[in-house]
Amino acid sequence: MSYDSILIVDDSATSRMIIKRCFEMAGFRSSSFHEAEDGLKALTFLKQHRVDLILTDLRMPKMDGSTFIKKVKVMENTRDVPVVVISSMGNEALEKTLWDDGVAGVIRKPLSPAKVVETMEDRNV
Amino acid sequence: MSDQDAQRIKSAMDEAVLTTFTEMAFLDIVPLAESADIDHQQVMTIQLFEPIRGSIQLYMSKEGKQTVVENIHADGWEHLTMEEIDDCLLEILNVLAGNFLSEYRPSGPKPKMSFPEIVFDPSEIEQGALSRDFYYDGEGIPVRISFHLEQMEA
Repeated sequence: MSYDSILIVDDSATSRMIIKRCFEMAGFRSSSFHEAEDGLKALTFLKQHRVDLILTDLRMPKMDGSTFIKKVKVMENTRDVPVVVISSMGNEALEKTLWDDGVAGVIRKPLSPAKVVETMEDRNV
Repeated sequence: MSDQDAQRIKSAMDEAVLTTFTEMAFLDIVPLAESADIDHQQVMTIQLFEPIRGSIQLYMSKEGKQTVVENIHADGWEHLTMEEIDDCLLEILNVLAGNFLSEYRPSGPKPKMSFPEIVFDPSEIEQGALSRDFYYDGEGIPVRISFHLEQMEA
């Protein structure tokens, strides 16, 4: 599956760089990547731009990933956009909450192209 | 703390360190049985809140920091801003700490921790009820992880 426009939401510039690089290496070279350093900036961007895939961290200042995901899932122009969480934390209770919130995939950092392929193909994202 | 708890912490820390440095910084790293002197300047620290309360600090020499940052950025240190370098080092600790909590307790309460930060004076770091130092060698680069435990999970 291809995504023309991908939004990366993470407060770490290093992490945003790694995510973009891993997705490009996993085959998403023709996608346009956009970045936001927190949920608030991401929502502002999404109100004005259409994206096909959202990749988000969970722990961010100003607006955390969980709150951001809930807002994305109620906004008319984003509710059907797949959201993949990329976080350093993994835990059964946490992942259950994320699935219940409607995320399409969860990848634990450190990210790699192999993990991207595995998630995007296995989860049919 | 029981020997079993101490071993669980060590196993989780070893796994987190190996995963983070190998997959993120492309550095082969192994645990050391003995301590190593590290000429560090700044220290990276992060607070843990759930499932255990404590903190983790990452100590590396300037040369070590340069190597891992250059590995991650695939660019020379001289081409990066101080902000980019600090962000990179803090993200390493962020990933390491998240992996540690996930390895230590894959089920149970959702893990919680602070944002990582840089501390210039290690004496500012609160000692916990239990403190342990873990040492590693990353292709000749010594790495020290200090773990302070305030409170085990109930």
